[in-house]
Amino acid sequence: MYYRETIKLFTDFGQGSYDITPRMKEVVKNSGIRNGIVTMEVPHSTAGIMGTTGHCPEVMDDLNEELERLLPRRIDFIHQETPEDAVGHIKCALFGNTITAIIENGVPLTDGKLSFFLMEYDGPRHRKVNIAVIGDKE
Amino acid sequence: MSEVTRENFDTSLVRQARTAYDVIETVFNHVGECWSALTMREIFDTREIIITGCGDSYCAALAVKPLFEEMVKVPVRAMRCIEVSRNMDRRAFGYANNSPLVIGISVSGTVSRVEEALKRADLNGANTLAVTDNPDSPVGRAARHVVHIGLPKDGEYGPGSNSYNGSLVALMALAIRMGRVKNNIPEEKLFEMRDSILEYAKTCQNVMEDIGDKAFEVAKIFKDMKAIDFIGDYGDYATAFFGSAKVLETYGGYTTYDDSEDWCHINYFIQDSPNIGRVVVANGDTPSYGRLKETMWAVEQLESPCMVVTDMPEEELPETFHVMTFPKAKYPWLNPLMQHFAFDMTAGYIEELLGIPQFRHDMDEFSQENTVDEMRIRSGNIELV
Repeated sequence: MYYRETIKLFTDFGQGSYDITPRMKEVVKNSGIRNGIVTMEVPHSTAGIMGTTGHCPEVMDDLNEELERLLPRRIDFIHQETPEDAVGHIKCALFGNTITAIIENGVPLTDGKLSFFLMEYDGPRHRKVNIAVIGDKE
Repeated sequence: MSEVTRENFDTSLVRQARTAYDVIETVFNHVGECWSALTMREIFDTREIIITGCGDSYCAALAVKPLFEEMVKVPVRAMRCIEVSRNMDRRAFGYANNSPLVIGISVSGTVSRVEEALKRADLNGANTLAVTDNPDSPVGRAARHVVHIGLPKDGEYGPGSNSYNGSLVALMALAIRMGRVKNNIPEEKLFEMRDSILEYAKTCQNVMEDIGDKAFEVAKIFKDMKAIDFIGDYGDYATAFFGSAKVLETYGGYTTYDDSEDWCHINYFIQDSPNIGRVVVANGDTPSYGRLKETMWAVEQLESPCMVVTDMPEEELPETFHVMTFPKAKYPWLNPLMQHFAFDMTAGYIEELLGIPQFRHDMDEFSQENTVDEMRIRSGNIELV
């Protein structure tokens, strides 16, 4: 069985992360699927998706800082739209914009261990996350 | 004798008003997002912007100054071309990489003083950009960068009205682009601001015939005035200045222009007020709207026939005034794009009612073949001082 929903959110200025785990669990519940996979896709090229701990907010702070350090905004990219946009495309390509989790008995196996974040690299913007659940209801 | 009606007259400025939206749309699609006009480095390097031009192009510089300030967040000066090309201290150019950015406007690209200003700025280390409809012209070649306006080839452009709008749209697109690169506006705002240019032009085009009817009524009164006195503040000062230019270009009347504060100090004293036509550009969002209302009260006391170009309801203003209400713009910087048509059409009708040919090219002293005429604008000596 296949089930899909699209969630929408409006991001803040600049780079940021948004915990979408509760929304993902809601979609899994709405699907009625007990065993299978849930896959999430951010259909944008300057926003992505990542999984990491949701228990320690400072990890996300570190991650954001590291991203800025590894891939700073620069004015000399060949793509000359804006520094945020140019580096946003690179972050998105490197870190990806899809993620998958395994569902058993109606909950992700990662439950309580991993949280999933929409990563905004060039906000503020209206963003979408497509969430598809594939599996069996039994 | 048959009644004098609007339908009996067909003037260039009225025809241009009727095609305004089409011209704006063409230029808008041509200039796009101005991506290649300046690199990101040049935009970030820009610490100051100087916008210059002659005649209508200087008005365009005045009109877009507020938008450049808002978008780029650096000091912006709309400067007289002669000041940039001859008078300003040359050490004020090139004090830092790519600064200041000097933008020279010339639709034809043949105005020697704009060419001179850009060459002087470039020679002394400033970054330079030409806004022109002719990139391969002396002005286009004098600048490091060019924004090609892209006016429709078959358009009617004299006296300047739609060509002025071409410059405005190109400059607006450039300012918005610079604001986006500096991340002063997010991407969605960029699209919203750009779209607002066409939306505003369209809504104004829809009321253009009504404005034209009123313009004709005002023309019947203003044709007998000794002079026309224009008042407007900040971006709307451009519309006032532009209107004054149309008086001269169309029927060659006497005219003056000022902002509301200085008008109260100076132009208020023009003698024979009942025979001086007044045009006030007063939009509700203008920070000096209160001062403009005080100025209009003074105009009313002087018993001058008065046209008001505004986005405010007619009831707000004295009953005796001729009110040209334009649709409210999403952003105040849009007002100069369309509001000038109110007086453009009035000037066109006055020219027709008086039977005076525009630019008076039928007279020897104003003939286009006259060597003085050529030297006046296009072949003046270029000196790099």
